Amino acid sequence: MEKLCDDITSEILIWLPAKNIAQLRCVCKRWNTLSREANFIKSHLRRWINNNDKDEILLVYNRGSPLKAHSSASPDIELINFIKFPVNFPSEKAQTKYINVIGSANGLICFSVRYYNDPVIHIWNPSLSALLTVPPYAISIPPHCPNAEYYFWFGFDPKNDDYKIVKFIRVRHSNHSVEWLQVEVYSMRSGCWKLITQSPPSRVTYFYSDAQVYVGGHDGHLHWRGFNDDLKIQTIVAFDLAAESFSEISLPDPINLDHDRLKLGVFGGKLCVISLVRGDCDCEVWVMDQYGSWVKNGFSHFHKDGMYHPYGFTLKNKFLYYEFCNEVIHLYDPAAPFNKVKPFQKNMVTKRYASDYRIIPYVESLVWVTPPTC
Amino acid sequence: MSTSSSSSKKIVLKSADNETFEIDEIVALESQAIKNMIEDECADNVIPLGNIDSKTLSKIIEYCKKHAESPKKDDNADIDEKAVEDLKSFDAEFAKVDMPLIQDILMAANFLNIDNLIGLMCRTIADRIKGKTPEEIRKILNINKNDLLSPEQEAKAREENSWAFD
Repeated sequence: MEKLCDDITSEILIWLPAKNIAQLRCVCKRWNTLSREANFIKSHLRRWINNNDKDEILLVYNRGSPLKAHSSASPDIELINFIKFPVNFPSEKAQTKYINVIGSANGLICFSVRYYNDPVIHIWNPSLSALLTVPPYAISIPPHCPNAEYYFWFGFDPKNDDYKIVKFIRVRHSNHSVEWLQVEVYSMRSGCWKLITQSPPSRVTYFYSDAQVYVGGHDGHLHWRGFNDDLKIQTIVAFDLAAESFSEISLPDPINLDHDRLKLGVFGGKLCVISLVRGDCDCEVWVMDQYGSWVKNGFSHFHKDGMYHPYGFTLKNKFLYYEFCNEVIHLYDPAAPFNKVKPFQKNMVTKRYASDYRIIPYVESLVWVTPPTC
Repeated sequence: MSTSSSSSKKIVLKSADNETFEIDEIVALESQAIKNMIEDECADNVIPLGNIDSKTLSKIIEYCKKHAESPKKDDNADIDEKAVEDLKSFDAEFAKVDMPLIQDILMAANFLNIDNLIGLMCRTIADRIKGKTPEEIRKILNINKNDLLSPEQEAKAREENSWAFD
């Protein structure tokens, strides 16, 4: 085999699942070096995401209920024992009750666990079953401050090949004014939190996290919808993960959009706005084609006879939505030659909690950073 | 450019053990390397392949024949589902050979630059080593002793990936 060059060796390794590759690093020098190269890790990730022979695995989650794995081929069947929790994973009780998923990017899932005190953040690669507990941040919610809230964002910074968490705290004072405490950014590469001087736009007084299918850090930015108190201002607040700065993007064509029925998502790796129109039976999808300009997408006019709740798109641009009349999540694949719509399990999600559900793509990924200790 | 020449035009390939194979040019064009030679007009009537034995070469020709006959994926959008399935099952059958031959085919395909065949062989090797221990893999792939990690390096690799061995 020594006659085969590096290209061929990586072409073989690329077909193996992430954990398998990690276990096989000790086979020989070449495998050890190759499987750690950033380019190989990137190609492996792309191969597993784009491979048309492979079904997508989706983790369906709601705070208070455990993660459930489903395959896009037959989402009505739960993949039992698919996820192997690492030994240092928060206790089973915590797994269901207090876990809040913050985001996911390139196979990494970032979540917080909150028992009584400040949330503890973890970064988890389920395909490697690797788990990292992020060190504590510098600024917590001040004591005796009932009207304060934590916000966490997580995403991939392609410029620095880094994974970052942005943390901020909103405090509402007794005179109703809102203050953003100093923002902190955690970098997986550096292993530390760092205070930054930038703060969210002052006219924004709260954020709404409506991305329900987590695909974090597209174009190296994170996006949330921002509002002011009387809802007169609705905007998209972006955080540039490389520059570590905030900016604002206006929503697409404000005249045509019903702002109460909007949500942000990702389509084909780009930021998108999904807008429900005509009595929640139709939706329009606007995609940020080039950063800063909106294009109405061919997916528009996805129509159902009954009301539905859109969750967003998977990494392979399949559409996930909840149908209220029969209380089932559906997966719609516009590219499939037949059988375009597949239902998830019945009785999995009740009407009342439908909009609380989040769907996380499970990706075979060698992405892992062992941060230095600060 | 001779890519559109009629299928009656013949090319002769000569293996390392001096066996000759006369094939349609269209079959030979599955190899990007031969294609380039023909296009650059530096191919004689007989193309010698000094590093490929006749057993491997005949397998490669079998593969190229089948793939040359099949409609190409990017020819048009309406690809015949049946043709795709047919090609898939051909590939699966084709790969059912022993490991040394797979590696010979892979190296020859790499030399002749036949992308699909390289992919098929790599995937076959990956399927066969999936779930095997490092020791078994070293044996299967006949990895040279000089290429092994030192005990210290191996311990380090295991420690850094300790989560993978839970």
